[in-house]
Amino acid sequence: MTGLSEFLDMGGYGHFIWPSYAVVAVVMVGLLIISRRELGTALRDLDALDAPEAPEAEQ
Amino acid sequence: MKRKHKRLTFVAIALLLLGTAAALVLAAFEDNIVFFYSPTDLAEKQVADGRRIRLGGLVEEGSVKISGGAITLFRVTDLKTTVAVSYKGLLPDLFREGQGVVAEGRLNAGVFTADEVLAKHDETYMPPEVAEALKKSGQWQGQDKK
Amino acid sequence: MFHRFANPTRFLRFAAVIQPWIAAITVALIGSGLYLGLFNSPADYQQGETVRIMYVHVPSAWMALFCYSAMAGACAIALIWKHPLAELSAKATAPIGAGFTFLALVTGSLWGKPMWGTWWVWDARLTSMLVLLFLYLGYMALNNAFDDPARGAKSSSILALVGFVNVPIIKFSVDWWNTLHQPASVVKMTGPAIHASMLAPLLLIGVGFTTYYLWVMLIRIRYEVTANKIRTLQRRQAATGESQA
Repeated sequence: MTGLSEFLDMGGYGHFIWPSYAVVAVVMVGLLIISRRELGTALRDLDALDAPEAPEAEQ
Repeated sequence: MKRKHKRLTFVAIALLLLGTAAALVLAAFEDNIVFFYSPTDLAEKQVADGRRIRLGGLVEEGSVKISGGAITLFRVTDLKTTVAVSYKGLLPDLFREGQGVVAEGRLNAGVFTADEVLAKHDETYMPPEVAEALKKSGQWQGQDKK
Repeated sequence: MFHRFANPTRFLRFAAVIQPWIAAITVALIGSGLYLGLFNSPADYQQGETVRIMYVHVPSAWMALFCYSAMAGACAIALIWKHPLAELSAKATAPIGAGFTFLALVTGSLWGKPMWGTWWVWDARLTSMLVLLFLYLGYMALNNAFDDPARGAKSSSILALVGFVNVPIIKFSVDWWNTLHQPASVVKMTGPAIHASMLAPLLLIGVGFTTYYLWVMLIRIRYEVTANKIRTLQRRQAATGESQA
């Protein structure tokens, strides 16, 4: 296991390297997920508007 | 939120951000944009004693001494002029002789008393073996690292 | 090509088709870049293992500038030629560019603390990058500031164009002024100052971040087009509803 703990330690700089990679992953993956969700919701809303309206659906 | 309030809020935010950006730019165009003076700059511009500035250059080879307490004495050079520096505190990992350095503090009677010392590294990147080989073959042009 | 895509619906179809390919290429490029950067490249002679932060910091900074340039270019096209997709692609790009600018600043800070000895300095490079972040945020705020999307788009486009002067300032800041941040290592007159073993992961991730940008931008443009359609339909239905009242 020394191999792994050495790798994670990165010569004492692990505390700076791993948070860097983590914040990059969080922001990039997060932005992707949020964008996909926004698109999904918008497409569903569009479908709802396109579909033949029942009278009470008027907001 | 009422539409009008929403619009005002966004415009206010935008203006605030713009204003901050402009302020940063303007502040930068005062002393700060000259992030540091070189030893030659210091000599030429005759900076007043006691004025807080930054001094940048290389740590002169063979000049680093530990004095009483946690005080480090060294000299900063731009290969034309050198300035003596005194610093009390922990030095960054990259601080070493032949390495770039930026010290912030005040000049007093010819000695620069620093209260912050930052290491400045160059833009070259290579594995240690390549650096060693370059040094051996006499082609070394960069900063030193032991 | 621009004329073909003046029709948003046609663009939507095109976007939906190429999106999975761009996604796959992105994952492959970033994945291989990460593998090389973390497992198969050396430590630096000077900066040791912290050089591995470069593999995410530098591509983020590149993308921050690239996205702003693309955004400003799109705004210019929108203002001058009024191409329907230009405005939408600028809006779609902004959050991505802002994200990369934020990442460049944060990873830079995490790199600066062990190497320079400080989390932040107000030197020309770091200050101008922070200004870039504010420009992105100001652009996004102005876009939403008006009820009429057209007015919001126009004022934000002007901001984007005025702010473009910051891009060359950022790039040349390390040459024009004394800075703590070191000069360029890749795009310089005498060629890259980076060893091949480190340049490889850097470029792989750089290209991977670019295709990631295309991926997310396509999603966001599709969203903007859809949102426009919704607005149009809602206005039409409101009008019809009123005329029936």
